[in-house]
Amino acid sequence: MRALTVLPDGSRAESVEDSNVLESLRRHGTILTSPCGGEGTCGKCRIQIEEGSVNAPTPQERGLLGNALGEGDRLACQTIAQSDATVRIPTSSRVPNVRVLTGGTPREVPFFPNVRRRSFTWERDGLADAESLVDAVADLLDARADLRVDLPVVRELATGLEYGETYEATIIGDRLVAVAPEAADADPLGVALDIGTTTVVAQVVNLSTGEVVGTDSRVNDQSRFGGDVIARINHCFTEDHGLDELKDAVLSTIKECIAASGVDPSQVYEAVAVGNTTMMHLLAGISPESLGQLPYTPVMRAGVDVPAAYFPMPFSDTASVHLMAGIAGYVGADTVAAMLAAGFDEPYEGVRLLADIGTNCELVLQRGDEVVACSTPAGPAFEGARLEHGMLAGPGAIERVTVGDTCEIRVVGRADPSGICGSGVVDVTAQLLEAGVIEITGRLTDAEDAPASLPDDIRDRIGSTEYGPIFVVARREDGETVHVTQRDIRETQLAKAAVRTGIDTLLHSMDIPATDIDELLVAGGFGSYLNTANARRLGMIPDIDDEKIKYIGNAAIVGARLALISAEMRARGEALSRRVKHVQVALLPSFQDRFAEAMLFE
Amino acid sequence: MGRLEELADSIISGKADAAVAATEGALADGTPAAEILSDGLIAGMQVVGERFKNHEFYVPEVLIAARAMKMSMAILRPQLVEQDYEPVGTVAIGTVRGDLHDIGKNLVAMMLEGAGFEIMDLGIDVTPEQFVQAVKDGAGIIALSALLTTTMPAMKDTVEALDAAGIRDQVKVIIGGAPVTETYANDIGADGYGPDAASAAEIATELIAA
Repeated sequence: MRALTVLPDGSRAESVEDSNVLESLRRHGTILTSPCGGEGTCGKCRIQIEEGSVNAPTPQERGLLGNALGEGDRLACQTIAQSDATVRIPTSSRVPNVRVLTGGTPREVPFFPNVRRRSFTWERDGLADAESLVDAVADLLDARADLRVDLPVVRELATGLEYGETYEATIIGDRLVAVAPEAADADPLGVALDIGTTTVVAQVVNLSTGEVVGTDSRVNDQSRFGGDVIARINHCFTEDHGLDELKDAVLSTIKECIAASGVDPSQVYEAVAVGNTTMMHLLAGISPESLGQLPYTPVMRAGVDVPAAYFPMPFSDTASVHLMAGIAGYVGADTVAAMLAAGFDEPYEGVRLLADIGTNCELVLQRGDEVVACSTPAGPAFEGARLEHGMLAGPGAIERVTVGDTCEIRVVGRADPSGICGSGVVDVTAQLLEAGVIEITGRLTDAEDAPASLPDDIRDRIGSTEYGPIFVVARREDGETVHVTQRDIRETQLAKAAVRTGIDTLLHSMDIPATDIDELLVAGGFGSYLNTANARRLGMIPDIDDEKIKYIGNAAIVGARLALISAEMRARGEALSRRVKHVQVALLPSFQDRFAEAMLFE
Repeated sequence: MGRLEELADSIISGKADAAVAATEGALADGTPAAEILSDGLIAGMQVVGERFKNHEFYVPEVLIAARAMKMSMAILRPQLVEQDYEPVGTVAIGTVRGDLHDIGKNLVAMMLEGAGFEIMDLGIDVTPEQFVQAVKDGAGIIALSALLTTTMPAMKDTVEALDAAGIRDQVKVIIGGAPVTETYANDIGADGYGPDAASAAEIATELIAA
């Protein structure tokens, strides 16, 4: 084994046996541009040998590099170190970075998908030195050491190739899965999947260019078996074929997403799926029963590659599906993906918090390279469920409320409201607290107990029913009201307390005061609509200035896409999933006190 | 306002210091501890329970009230023991096997204590065997809590374990928790179901009286 010192960064790579520098660097995580697949025909993987002894230049290099050879230039794919050596990589040889937007913050990652196309010319001459046709192809692809060839391809090699013709090989990881005449196939496609309890998002990516060529999202068909993960788990407990029904339901949703995205599914060679741990279990057909009971230990948490045919998913026959690694029973692969999108795989100078607020709220705190994560059950209030007039943030939902002399609202998609969504409830609760209509304990006052200074219009909106007081947020065109009840306020109180308890517990576990938070990253659909001033007023999030708060949208799908287009990012995600310290919030003795305290609107 | 009324009010508003002062004042006046308990503490907690039931009070208010109640109780307890006071009954309470949610369970325990019961708090993730042992140790009622549909079956297992141990007729079983229903309570042969903490205390009181 020989050591390679890589310049300009000075990192060290190992050169194993007779592998060339291109290959050694790839194992080290440094990807050089090599459109020919390391055949020595394109001349793109140019490097400079500054020290050490290497093999003599090959005929290809003489042809491509000419006089530059004399100045120490070589092609990485043709160069084999014969001693420890120092190698300089010019910027022009590095793989260009693809910009991936993560809610306004672009992250550059090396473009190196697990699925690659390599061309080779099938020559009779090469066969004499090879032990088999399979070995000959592997040699031509410069990947003999670690290429496994699928049986259908082996059959194809027996009769299908003609001398002198150029073919394109499709490689998934270390598997040669297809050989076809050059340009016969369209570019290989990959699919990033975010399997949410409520929504499934599919993004189709051209794996030759990194470009997103189709996106679709739709309601997870599993929803008909219950809205939350506990209902789904319970379905597996109580129904004989419950697990199969849930697996089939999500697969049919994925199939619809792919169909709707308008691409040829037979050109899809790989998918990367992320989701909460229950969704990942159900997708893989693994019973999630252990997630329904203490200590909520998942059956599986590491990333795995599964043939698409096994599910089955409607892709190429040879396609592979990567199920991304998760962290714990209630901190799943979707959180790992979001962390990847936000760059938690790299050390952070300062303290930052990532919050994905939904029915289950996932929280991740990072300081330097220390990362802790937890989940906390916020319940369905933020998704509008279990509120008297609650609804998801679709057309007709009141998403913004401002209480002044009157009550101003903003409705999604149209003027006439049909209900109120999570962000609307947060707004109205915070604004009524400010107006003194809600007390710090969460009690909604009667009209007569309300502050004397309250504008008449606001006072008139305080009503009462046999179940207690209500506040009328809006009147609909049909004369009905959209209102929040005392019970709705209680649900909101419970949800915000769960979020805050999780945040406080993580901060406490690292002994960090909330004032030290340099950045709060808010992920997820609900988060993007959240009015942070109102969230602060409720005490749902600590006192953090607006400029420190960033919305990163659906970071999970971005992370899945990063893992799809970059083998390195995938490996980093896996490493991250193992490195994160998981805190089981509800098991801590201090939980109840913190939770009760967090319920007050102080 | 009389001392006991003052005590009840301090409990309702969660003023621990005032509750302690009212308790000590009542004892100094020569009011029997049992009367302070029933007309002060229990009366106050009853109001707390009613308000909780109609969503006027929520978890924080109940916890603050319970804290005041416990501080008053700490003063009364030695007197009650001295006067051979018999609690209304003894309840062994716990969150069932596989479940860790204890806030609801704790609220029920507080309301039961506020209704004059002696509480054996078995904590969370309590196995059927532990409940059986609690009955052998003298619990007249066992109260089971579950917050997940996935852990509800442990309630049935617990009732069956009482049967198997031959002590089912020595104990009343009450169950509760968000996913639990009266139908389920009937199905598994429980004696009572409480839709909320205040109702749980009422049902326990009825079962003991029956």
